[in-house]
Amino acid sequence: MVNLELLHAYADGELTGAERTEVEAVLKADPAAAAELVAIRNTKTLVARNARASECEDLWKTCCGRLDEIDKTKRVESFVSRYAWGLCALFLCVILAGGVLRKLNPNTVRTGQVASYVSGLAGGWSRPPQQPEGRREWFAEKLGQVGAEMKPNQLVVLAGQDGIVDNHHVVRLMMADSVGPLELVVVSNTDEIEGGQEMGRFRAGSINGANCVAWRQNGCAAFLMGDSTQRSHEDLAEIADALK
Amino acid sequence: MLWGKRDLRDTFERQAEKVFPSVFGTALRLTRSREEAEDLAQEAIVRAYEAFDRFDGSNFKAWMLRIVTNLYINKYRQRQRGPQLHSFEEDGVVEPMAGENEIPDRLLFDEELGAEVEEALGKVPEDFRTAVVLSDLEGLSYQEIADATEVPIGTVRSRIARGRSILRKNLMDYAMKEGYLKQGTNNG
Repeated sequence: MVNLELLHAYADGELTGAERTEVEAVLKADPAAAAELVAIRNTKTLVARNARASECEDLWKTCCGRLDEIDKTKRVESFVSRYAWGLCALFLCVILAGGVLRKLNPNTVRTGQVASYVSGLAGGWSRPPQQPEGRREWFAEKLGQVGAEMKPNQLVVLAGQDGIVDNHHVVRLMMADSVGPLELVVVSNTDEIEGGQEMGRFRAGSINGANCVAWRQNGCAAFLMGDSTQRSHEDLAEIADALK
Repeated sequence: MLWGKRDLRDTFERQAEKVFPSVFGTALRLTRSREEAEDLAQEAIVRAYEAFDRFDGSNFKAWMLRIVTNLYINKYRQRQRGPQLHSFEEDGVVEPMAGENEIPDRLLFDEELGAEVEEALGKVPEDFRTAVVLSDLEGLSYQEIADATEVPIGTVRSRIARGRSILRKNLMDYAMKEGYLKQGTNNG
């Protein structure tokens, strides 16, 4: 009996010289083995000839698209790794320049700094007394700490917080009127307000998604903020005018 | 290196485009699902591109099919649901089939046979099918198949013999059903 694995390997041309000689001797002597070899070859031909080719042009285009993405990522990575020292130096320069500018203009407040002033307030919230007179006094006293003078008028003062951040005395007051809540942040020792756009006597912009108007008063910077869905800059400017 | 990337990409793309029908065809025959085959072929191309600088330059098609097969064995096969057709002993003796019920020559020229061949191939247990596909459809040598499937060359030899025998049996069922062959008749 012929070894069929050898016969298949013979049909595939995968035998060593000695194995090939052995199989050829069997094929000469055994007609059944020769018939089996023909059958194996027929099966190979049948499969190779009739296997269906699948449409794959679109898939190839998709693959090319993925290769483009890889190239793009590699280019960015290569650029970053090659110029990492330069980028680091650039960022360091920017940070140093920022520090120097801040030293040169210590009393300039940028609207972008308000969030850090607020988050830098370590003290807890305090609440005003219930009586209207007491509330007004409490309000005046809080703002007096930073040298500002304002009147709450129709606003209800809910709570306050104050502290020293970056050598500025900062007061934060939560207030409300019939429309909704308002937040007033007053920063002491300020010569200039940067950021936002000029809007009459105010600078207008947004801080953390809230609308904000800012103005200077008695050497302080005041920022009045309200929900952008409830209050326009003009509304806030009107309230600020009343506060002043 | 940044400027050499373009050349590398062009070289890879030129070679990969030529062998892509084989890559996708093999993926399709291994997974037997168009969706999975598309994922497998794409992933194989991406892996090959990322490793192209380590390609030894010998046989690109064999190298690509090795990636497809490895990826399938290591990742996709585990994902497939349901039991695998894998009940055959690999080291069992292969029974000779010629003589009594041989595939007639007429079958070799049957225009409608493509679907039948694919179906018959699909019924061959997975490891045997992989070996037969890589050998008979993609023309890989036994050594290349052994490298692709990470088994000894003797196992490849055995799988090919077993796989082809099962495939022949399946095709003869078709031949008999279509009247090319009658039960118990000799070829000729």
